[in-house]
Amino acid sequence: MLTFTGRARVLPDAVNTDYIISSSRKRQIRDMDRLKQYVFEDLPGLPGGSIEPGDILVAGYDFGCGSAMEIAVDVLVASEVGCILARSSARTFYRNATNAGLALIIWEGGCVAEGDKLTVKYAQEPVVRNESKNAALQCSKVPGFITLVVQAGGLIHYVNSCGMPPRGCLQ
Amino acid sequence: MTYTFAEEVLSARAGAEAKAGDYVSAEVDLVYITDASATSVLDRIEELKDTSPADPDRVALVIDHYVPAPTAEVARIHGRMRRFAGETGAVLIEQGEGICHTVLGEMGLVEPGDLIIGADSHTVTYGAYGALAAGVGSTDAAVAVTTGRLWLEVPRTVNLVFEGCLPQGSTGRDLALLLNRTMGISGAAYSCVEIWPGSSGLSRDDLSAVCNTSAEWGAKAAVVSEPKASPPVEADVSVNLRDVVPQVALPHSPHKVRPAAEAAGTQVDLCFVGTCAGGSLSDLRQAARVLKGSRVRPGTRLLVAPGSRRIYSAASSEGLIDILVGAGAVILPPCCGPCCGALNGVPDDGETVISTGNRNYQGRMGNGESDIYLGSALTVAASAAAGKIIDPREVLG
Repeated sequence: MLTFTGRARVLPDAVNTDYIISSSRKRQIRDMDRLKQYVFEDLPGLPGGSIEPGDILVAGYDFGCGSAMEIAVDVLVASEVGCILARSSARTFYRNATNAGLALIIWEGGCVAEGDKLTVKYAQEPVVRNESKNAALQCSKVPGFITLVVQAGGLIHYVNSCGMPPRGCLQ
Repeated sequence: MTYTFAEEVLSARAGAEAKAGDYVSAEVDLVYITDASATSVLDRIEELKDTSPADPDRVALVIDHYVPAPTAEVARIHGRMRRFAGETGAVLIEQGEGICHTVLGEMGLVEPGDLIIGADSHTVTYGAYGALAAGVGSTDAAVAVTTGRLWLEVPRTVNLVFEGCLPQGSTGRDLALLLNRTMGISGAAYSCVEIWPGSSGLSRDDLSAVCNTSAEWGAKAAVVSEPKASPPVEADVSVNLRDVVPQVALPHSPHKVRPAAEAAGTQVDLCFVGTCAGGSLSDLRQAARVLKGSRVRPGTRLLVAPGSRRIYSAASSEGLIDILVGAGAVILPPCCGPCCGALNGVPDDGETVISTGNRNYQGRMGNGESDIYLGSALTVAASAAAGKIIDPREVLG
């Protein structure tokens, strides 16, 4: 099982992919180590300064709406974000995160403040605790196939080791 | 047992009965990538054990975002796409042919009932051709290229029913903008929007504009049902087209939509007609209709990018290009143009833009210090002539 411990970085609702990384930056800068310095640069009022490795993003509704470009996920992976909790997520972003092996959990209730220490156990029934407040966060179940892909480290690793599933229904 | 369009297509492509909420591995009829996503997709293909396309006829590489190559770096991306197509037999759509969401349909590569994916969020546009068409990221595209398959959850369905006809001065783009306001950022989250046009007489260009915009509602896909088909007993959303007036989206959100008349008087510096949302032949006809015998106001600039070579050529035959050039427009090659700040046409600090594009996030056109409004080609062209935003019905008489 994947586990994460990190600092909560609270984000507003509707953080679109252009706010994660601007369209013009991603065109100008190909080097991911340089590009990651500009994560959330156009997002008004990101509290607490830049993203540090291990941070857990705690987003509102519709996280990752906008473009389907996977670079919005790549740049968060390069920033070594631990995992993402979102009240809801744009589907393309959710897929891209899954395919990149970045765990994204839909959280339904509970209280998180900027900088709180969180622990996350990623599984079909994820367990998320706010250690700073000694409380649990309610989360949605994660579909089985998605946990397999994330645990494999993303779809490329999954396909290289297990092959793409043949036509049909997935468990 | 009744099936939604998405359930029908995905059951067929998965070879198993699948209902909304089920996860399937489905066979893809066409996967396309653009020069904006090619590096990322081709890098991922190289990470896969098997790097050759499962079926090269079902893979298209479209050079449409950065056309012609503005830098050596972009030229290398284009070169890599050409080599990949040359070596694998995949379909190459060269620069100048047009925007991926326009040109593949024109070429007959999109059939009703197809499952189509593109590494670009506005792939949903092909719902106007009756396909289940979804935007995906680079990894999905890479795996679909090499395995021919895609994993996905069968989306639920939102039924969108139109009644009546659009009044004079209103276009499919106005309808699309109004729907942005109605649907919001997630009004169709992970849904397939089934559009029931009824006897509205909306053209394919109008319906393409609506399907295109469904990406802004969080839709997985949108599809246009047969014009004569009966809509479901209960519509999830219905729109009386007679009530649709010209609309604009205010900075910096495509969902912040108001009647154009409410933004009237706002000075504009740069006007743009083009993109997968507003670069159709209908859009060019609308722009030319407004600008015939008129001129872009001094101090205001107008850029026009036809959506495809075919549209460019048709517009030329109809005399539209002469009208637009005569009015002072700069014609760009068929491509995405300045829509996403990737190419020529970046606004200056403090400037105001009005565009037929689909997004106006801060910085979208390459300068975060500018404001972008969105409107129909009629509204954009009328605003270019006036030097300020106006309701186009004022000049259409």
